[in-house]
Order: sequence, then C-alpha cells, then structure tokens
Amino acid sequence: MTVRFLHLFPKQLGLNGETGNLDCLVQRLSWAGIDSQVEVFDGSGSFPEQIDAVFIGSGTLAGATAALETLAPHSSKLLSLVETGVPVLALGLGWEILGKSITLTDGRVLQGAGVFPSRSIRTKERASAECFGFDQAGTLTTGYANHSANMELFEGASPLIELRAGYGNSSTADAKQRSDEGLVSSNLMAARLNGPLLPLNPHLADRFLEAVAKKSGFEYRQESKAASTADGFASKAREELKQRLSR
Amino acid sequence: MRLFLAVLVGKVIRSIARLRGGGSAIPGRIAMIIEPKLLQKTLGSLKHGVIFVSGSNGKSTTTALVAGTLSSQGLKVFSNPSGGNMPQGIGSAVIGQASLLGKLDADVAVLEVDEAYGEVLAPFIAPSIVVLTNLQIDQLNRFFEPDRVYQMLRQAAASATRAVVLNGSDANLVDIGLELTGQNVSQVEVSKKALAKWPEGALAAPRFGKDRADNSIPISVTVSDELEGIATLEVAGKPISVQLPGKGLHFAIDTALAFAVADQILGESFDLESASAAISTQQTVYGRGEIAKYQGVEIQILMMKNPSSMRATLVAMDDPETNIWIAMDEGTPDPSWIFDIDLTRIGKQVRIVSGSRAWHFATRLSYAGIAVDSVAPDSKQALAEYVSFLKQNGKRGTLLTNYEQMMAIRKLMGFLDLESGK
Repeated sequence: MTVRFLHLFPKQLGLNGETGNLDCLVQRLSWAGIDSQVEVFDGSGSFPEQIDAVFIGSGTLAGATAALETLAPHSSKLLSLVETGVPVLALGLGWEILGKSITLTDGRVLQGAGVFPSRSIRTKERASAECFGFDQAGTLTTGYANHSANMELFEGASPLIELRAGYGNSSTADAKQRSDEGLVSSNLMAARLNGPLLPLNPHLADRFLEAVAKKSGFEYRQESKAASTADGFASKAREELKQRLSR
Repeated sequence: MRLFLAVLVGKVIRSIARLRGGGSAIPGRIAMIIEPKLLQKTLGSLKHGVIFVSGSNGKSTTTALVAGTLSSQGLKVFSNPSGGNMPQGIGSAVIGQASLLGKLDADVAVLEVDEAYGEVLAPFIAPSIVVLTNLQIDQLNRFFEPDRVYQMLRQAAASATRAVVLNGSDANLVDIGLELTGQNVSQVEVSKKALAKWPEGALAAPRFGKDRADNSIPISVTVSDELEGIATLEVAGKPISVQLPGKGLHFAIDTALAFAVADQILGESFDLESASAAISTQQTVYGRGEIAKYQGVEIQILMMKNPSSMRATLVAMDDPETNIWIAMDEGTPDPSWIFDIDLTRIGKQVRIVSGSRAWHFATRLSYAGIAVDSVAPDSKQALAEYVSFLKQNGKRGTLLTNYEQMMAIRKLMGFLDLESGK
C-alpha cells in the first residue's frame, strides 16, 4: 500500500514551516513501515486522482488569493474527493480559502472552495503570539498564532483545541482568556497554529493518519523507536512553552 | 548645550554599560530623551551625507563592506556596529564616536537600518543613498507578511535624496526600483552562471498576484562569478577579482552593492584595486563565521536568523562533518521555518542543542534523521559540555545560533564588547 497525499499549492501556501507538516506525515508513515507519495496541485498540471489524503498550508493573503483563483475551476473535483470521505488537513490561510467565504477588510467577499463548514472575516488587527491549550483528548497542544481573521464555525463543526493562552479562532479576542482553536468535522481537520503544528503535536498527526488509514483500509500503528525519540523531544518542547507562558 | 549634555550623559552611561557587557541601545535612548535631535545635529551635515543599508538579510555585512570600500578610497566613514540598527542603537554609536561638542569627524555615514525603521528615521536624517540587499522571508511574527516589508523598503528607498542601489537578482527589489520616480536607481546584476551555482544566495520572498515588469534598471555592477570565496565583479566594464569575507553568492552580491555605492559617490575616481585589497583583509562581521577562541578551543560562530540566512550559512559552512552545537531561544518567537530548511549539510549527528528552544530544535533534527547527543537548555551548561567535548576531541567546533543566544554565549565566553565584536 502506498499512501497518496495531495499537497495543494505548496508554493503559494508554504510560509510557516509547512513542509514540516507534510514531512511529519510522510516520515511517521515511513517509521511505521508504510510507503507514501506526494502529489502536487498548483494549477500547472492536471488535478491528481486516487488520493488518500489532502493537505493545504498557510501563507500570505496574496498567495492565498492567487491559489483560490487557480483552484476555482477545479473545486468540484476537490469537493467530490471530500464527499467520498478522504481526510483533509488545512492550516492557516489554506483553511480560509477552503471555507465557505472570506470577508475582506474592505467589505468584499471572496467565495471559498466550500470544503470546510466555516467562514473567515479578515480583521485589521493582527494576532501574533505563542499559544497552548488541550485537544479533545486532553493532550497538551502548543503552537504559534500569526493571523488576522476571525473564523466562524458552522453547524456540524467543533473546535480542535481549547486554548488557555494565545489566539485561537478569533484574532481579536483577549489572549489570556480561554478560546477555541481550529475545527474538526467528520473527515476534516483545520487549525491556525504554526510550530509547525504536526511534528510538535504528534497526537494530532497520528489522529489524522488514523483517519487516513481507516478510510483507505490499512493499519497504522506508531511503535517505532524513531517516533518515540522525536515525540519525547516534542513533548518537552510543549511542556517548556506551557511552563514559560504560565509563569 | 542640550547636545553637549546628551553626548556627555550618553558617554558616561555607555562606559558603564560596556563594563557590564551589554545594553548597546541604552546610552542612545537616554541621550535622545535629552536631545531628541541628536541624530540630525550629529549626522546632518556630513559631506557625502548618510547612506542607509536595509533589507532582510546581509545588512550588517553590506554595511561593513560599504564602510570598508569607502574608507579604502580615503573617505572618513562613520558606521553603526552590527545589529544596532534602530534609532537608539544608532544614537549609541554616534555618542561613542562624537566629540563632547557633538562633532563627528567623518565625510560620510553608513548606517545599517532595520526594515521597519527606514521610514521612521528618514524624516530626521534624510539618506543621500539607500542600499537594498534583498526581501526574503524573515521575522513573520513581527512583519507578518513579506508584502508589508515590501512597503517599508519602498518607503525607505523613496526617502533617498540622491540615489538607490539595489540587488537586481531579487525581483521584489526590482519592482521597488521601477516604482521610484525621484531617485537615480541602479542595480547590481547577477550573471546566470553565478545564480545557477548558488541558488541559496538569492532567495527572494515570493509575492503573488503581481505582474512583473521588465527589469530596465541601469546596471552599475555585475557579479560575473563566485568561486570558493572569490568573486569576479564588473564595474563600468572593468573586471575585478575580490576575496570575499566568506564563501557564497550572498557575499559577492553584498560586495557588489558596496562597489556600486562607491561608484555612485566617486564616479571615475573610484579605485577598484585598492577597494578589492581592502575587502580582502576585512574581518567577518561577528556571527558570520567569526572564530571565537575560548579555553583553548576554537568555535566558529554562524548565525541563523531566518530561512534564507540559515540556508546560505549551511551551504557555505566549511566542514559539514564538524562537531555542531545549535543554540536557539525565544528570541526566535516562531521557529516554524526551521522545518522548511534542508539540513543535509549538518550530517548525521549534532553534539548539543541548547537554549529554551532546544527541545523544539531537537524535534526538527529527529525528523531529519539527525541524532542529538545532548539537549541542554541552559547555555552555561551547554558551553561547558561543548568545550570539554572539543578538548577531548581536538577538533574545531561550529555553533549555529540565533542572534540572542549568540549574544548570551559571547558574554559567557567573556567577550564584553558587544558593539564592535572584538
């Protein structure tokens, strides 16, 4: 079995260590003895077929707008992938363009690809801070928020993480208050934390990979020594951040 | 009177600060409270004016090269030391060199200016020439998006009263140059041959949704080639070979920018041979390959500030199999970019990772299949461990570090003069 990832717009949306997120997925599969392969769609070739999982990363608004324009004629192909249950992981502005719509600060509304049950309202304020919180299983989750949009989740979607410090789905909320971050809804997962998110939070990487395994019908069990070393470091990195922010 | 008081108080605070080994912006900050026009009054009347050097990477090196090139032509040059590139830091440097009456004995000032401060400084001291090194991905936690930095650099360039010299291999800077109307704009051109050899030396931040216009900016200096730290440049049709401060295309471009400035100021009387000779004896700006001698071992210090500087550093690193120490703390607020860098040059093993980001960096290294021998968040402990390892091993070490850890570790090694890097 070779797992086929589709990486959308790696150039236009590849700003905050995004290579690290996809590398993390590929590396963890490899540590578990499973081969994988990354297909790219950025408008220059045709839309790849037979995809097991989709990944899109963060970038600038200019990059995202360019990506959205390119994606528009192909969004039905992406939507039909999603309807068959293929897991999608979207981060930062990648999540915004895969939502229903983006309201710009001048009031204009861009039509999103409509994959995620959410929309974004761009803000003039910028949120930029380290964050920590806990995911639905209660595991410490950390990252760096750097965004300027409020994310609204629609029915059927719930937040991925509850933050205790930093900025979640709202760029304008009080950073010291609890806040919701990210989204989960059936086969969809989204967040706005950098780090990159997955290598620093392997519990989220494994949760996504388990969804991919379930959909594509293979077994994923992470018992490698390499993963245990990497995850040990990541756990200490998260703990250090939490301690520092809690002081 | 105010100027006198400002310089006097500044000088006293500066000598105290230097004994303690830190705080290079404080004397300037206090002097500028006493005399808000400190910079105008000291820098405002120099014969060849003030030159701003700005951009994402290579500011310190280019500033040192412009200063070195102009000195080689007999000009008296005032310059701010590496890293002190905000108004208060520049104020501190002015205080260090001005007479008590606030006079600077200089023909020209060459100032490294932070991207965000070009437009802040310009109303006080209008630059005669603005030099732009590049627009690369840097400090997104602070600048958010490269598009914002573009606007900052454009503003800074537009404040030049005379000329703008830019790196023509960076498409963003070419766009800025083409937008300017009131300045004499010229560029450093990089040959296809040189670019093909060193793609890491010229990494422009991507900007999207912009139509690129033709690059019609007049060429002042061409980088024809770079080979093992020796650049071949062409200035007004004349070829010249220069021994660079280090290996890599970025050093060749920085040197070409310095020559373009000298060409702009001196025209036909610019003596290429003496400029080349001066550059070849110039010392590396600290953190860009400086070799620190400490307790009988040698540690080469290489700084990694952002993806472009780290890529360039890794490519130019002397011995990829050297014993590496990596140090990073929260001075790098969002280290996500370390996951975007190809770490092949590091080899299979890193001796020590230190600083508050040690665990974060160790995670990165594990995903690259690089073994980490020791993680020591405390710099002092890491330094002791590393030195004892090098002593047993008898090899030179390499420290890859962010700016803040570099300062902290230099201080631990007893290098108190943080301003000049000696």
